[in-house]
Amino acid sequence: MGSWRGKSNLFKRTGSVPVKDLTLRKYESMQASSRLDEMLRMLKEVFGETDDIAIRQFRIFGSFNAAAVFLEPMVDQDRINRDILQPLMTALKDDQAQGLHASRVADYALHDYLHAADASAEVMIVPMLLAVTSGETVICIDGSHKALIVNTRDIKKRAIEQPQTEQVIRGPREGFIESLDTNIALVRSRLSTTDLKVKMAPIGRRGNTNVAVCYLSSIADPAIVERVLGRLAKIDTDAILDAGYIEQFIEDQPFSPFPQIQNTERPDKTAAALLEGRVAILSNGSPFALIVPCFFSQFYQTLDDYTERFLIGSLIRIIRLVALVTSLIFPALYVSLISFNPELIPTDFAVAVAGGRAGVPFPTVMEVLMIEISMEILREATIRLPQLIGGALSIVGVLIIGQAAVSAGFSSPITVVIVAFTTIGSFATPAYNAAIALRMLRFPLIMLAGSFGLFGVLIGLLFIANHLLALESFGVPYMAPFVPNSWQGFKDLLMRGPIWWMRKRPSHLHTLDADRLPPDAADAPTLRTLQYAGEEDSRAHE
Amino acid sequence: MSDTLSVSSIRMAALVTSANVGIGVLTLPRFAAVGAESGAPLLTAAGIVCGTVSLLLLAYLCSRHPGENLIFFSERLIGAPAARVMNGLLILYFLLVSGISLRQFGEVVVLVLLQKTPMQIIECMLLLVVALSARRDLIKFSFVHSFYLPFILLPGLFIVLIATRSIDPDNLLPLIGNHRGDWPNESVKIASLSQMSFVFCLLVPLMKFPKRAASSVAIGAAIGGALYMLVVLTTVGMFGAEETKILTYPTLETARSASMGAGQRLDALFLIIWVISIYTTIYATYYFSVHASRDLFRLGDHRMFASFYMPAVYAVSMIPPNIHVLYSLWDWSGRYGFLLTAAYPLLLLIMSFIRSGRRRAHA
Repeated sequence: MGSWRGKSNLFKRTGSVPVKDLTLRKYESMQASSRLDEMLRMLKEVFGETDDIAIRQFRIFGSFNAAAVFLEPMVDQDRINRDILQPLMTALKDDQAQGLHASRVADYALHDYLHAADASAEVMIVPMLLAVTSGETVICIDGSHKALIVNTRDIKKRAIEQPQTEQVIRGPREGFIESLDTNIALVRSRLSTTDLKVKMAPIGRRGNTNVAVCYLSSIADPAIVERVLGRLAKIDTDAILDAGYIEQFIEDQPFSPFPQIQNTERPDKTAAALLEGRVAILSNGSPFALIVPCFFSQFYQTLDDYTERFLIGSLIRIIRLVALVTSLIFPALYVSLISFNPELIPTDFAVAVAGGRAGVPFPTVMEVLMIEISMEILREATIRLPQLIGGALSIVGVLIIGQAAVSAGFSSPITVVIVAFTTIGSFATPAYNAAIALRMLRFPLIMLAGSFGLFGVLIGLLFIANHLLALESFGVPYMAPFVPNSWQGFKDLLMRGPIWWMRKRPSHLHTLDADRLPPDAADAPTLRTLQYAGEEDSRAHE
Repeated sequence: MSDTLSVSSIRMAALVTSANVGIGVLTLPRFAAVGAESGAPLLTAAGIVCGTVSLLLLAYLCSRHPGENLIFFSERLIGAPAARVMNGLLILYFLLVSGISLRQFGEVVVLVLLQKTPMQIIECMLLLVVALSARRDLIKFSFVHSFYLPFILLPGLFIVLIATRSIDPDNLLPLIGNHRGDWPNESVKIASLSQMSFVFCLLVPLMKFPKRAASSVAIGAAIGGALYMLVVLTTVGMFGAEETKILTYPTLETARSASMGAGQRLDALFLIIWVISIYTTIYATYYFSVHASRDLFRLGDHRMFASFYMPAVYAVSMIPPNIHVLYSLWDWSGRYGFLLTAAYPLLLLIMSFIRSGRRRAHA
């Protein structure tokens, strides 16, 4: 693990080097002392005000004074007892002990006695202090310049569960959790290839949050990887508490309502994105992976599209797209048709609408805005409430308020229908952040519809479309593969083509290896056996 | 990033089509009918061929100089002072066209959609969208055109399709019209509609294969021309030449009568979608002025012009006191504009031939 700076050539030194914290600065170039009492004095000075620090003094091999230093809540004490104290506290045989000088104890213990996979020797102070704060155990030995650092971290983590925000009907049920190691393992278990590269480094001056960048080196465009690392290197903040922080630091256009980075709780989706040549960013403490670069089309695609058979998948995707467009323009269309162009509505229906609106005191645009805003309030309230109450409240809210608003003469029944339809439509969009962007853009459109009718709506849509066309995500056009078009991309845009059609990776990602299927010569021997079995099988059918 | 730095041939064709199809869709049948009565489709075809040939000349000229755009190589071909005057004229002409198109657009929207809204506000809204999107670079400019192309072609084709059953073939006979009209003059007026896509000459240097510019432009102009032909055929076939002459916006009437048959009035909807094609056309002409000004003055950024030309275009759109003056101004600008936009590239092309010949002689 090193600094991000070394991993990106793009990073340029800016003026002064950022300093992590004052204590570390004080010990920045200091080496460990060979005297144990000196070391312990220094450690007490640093951790003196911390009550959860533990310093366990003991004798290594019965003859060398030593101390194990660790933070009690973050370590597995059983492991310290079993893997560190027990082997180190056994007395050596006389012939072994005689030749052993204090300066060589650290290496001797590390190579011959310590039963821990993740252990190392260290001479500098700062890495030792950082090791203690991250839950590792530091063993200082009297007479030795080197201290041993052993990973004994044991932080409680929840079990792997089904992702809450991305439910699927058919497909894997595993979701990311808050532990970075587990998350990387989940991805790696799906892509057991040497191409999968994981670059890790801490971000944040205080938090030192571990952040991992994953990509497939034989597929992902090096320029994109470089761009990701470069932007990560420029993040200057105190701590990364969630991947969402990273997203806001590295996105292309922070003032756009549209998300330019996809987030997912699903390891399978992450693996699929890596295979397309994208880059995934995972951060410790966050169950979400960020996927860059991303296209707008990714926000209405789900895993179900791919696990189900392609005809059904395509139909469902088209329906979802209709819902997406509906959630943006439906109320605005309603307002402009009622207020400006009633001739476009079939006459019978126009009469019904007029009948429903009889007695409603507000202009249509006000009515729709009020119902829309109350719907948004209901939605927001339901998210914050505990699940049990939330379910009850949403039913009460929708049924009672809608019914009462109509019978109180506050709104017409058609308005309630339109608004309800719009809201449900926006929930059909799988990506919450994209759905919310379109939901919010609906309000300016309704106002434009109220003042300029269909013309206003169209001008608003031109604004939105022009903005989308100008957006980029890590240098890749946001509206790809529609504009700029790629015929291969169309197979997975509106419909979901059969899986054996989609032999190419998205061309706008400029992958090193554009073909999903390797040439026959590159087949691994295991695959050949499978093919052989298939041939036998087909002969049996004849 | 090859696709974010270059323009593909398809996008080039899309640009030409979406820029050419614009304000003319609504009024072209009237112009054509006035010019040649039942010979309107033939006149339209003549005009389109005329316009397409001039575009092809321009495309060929540009592909002979793939490294730089018209503004730069013209200065090398005919000398900086003369070229600057001509390029300045081009910029002014396209500002004028943007203004007149904006005014025509305002007139239609006020007539059909928003009777009570002041025309100035409608024009300002569209101008704002155009000016804001004119701040984008050339690649994004080409993205916009290829994105909107389906929304421009499909409604037109839809209207033509449902109107086909009301066409009376007798209305289209005789093919060359009853009177000998002023064909060259009238066809030049129609040809000037094709010059809206003049801006493509700025994009040729960005093409992956500049040699394909001419074929892209030919395809683009052919698609646009086919749509114009269909519209004229349908409208004149439906109403007859005499009636088409007195309708201000014959195509809108076609949409209205065709959809009435389906039990529903869809002309407003047609007009709304048509706003998109107006937008792309004004965007193309305005963008030419903005971007060419940048190159003419050797500036690094074109965004200043995108803002500063707004009042000029708005002022032009306010000049005609009424719709009659508006259309005579449109006639006038079309005729002389075509002279400018066709003759100037022709002159440059001749110079280009002469110069390259001399260079070969020297070598």
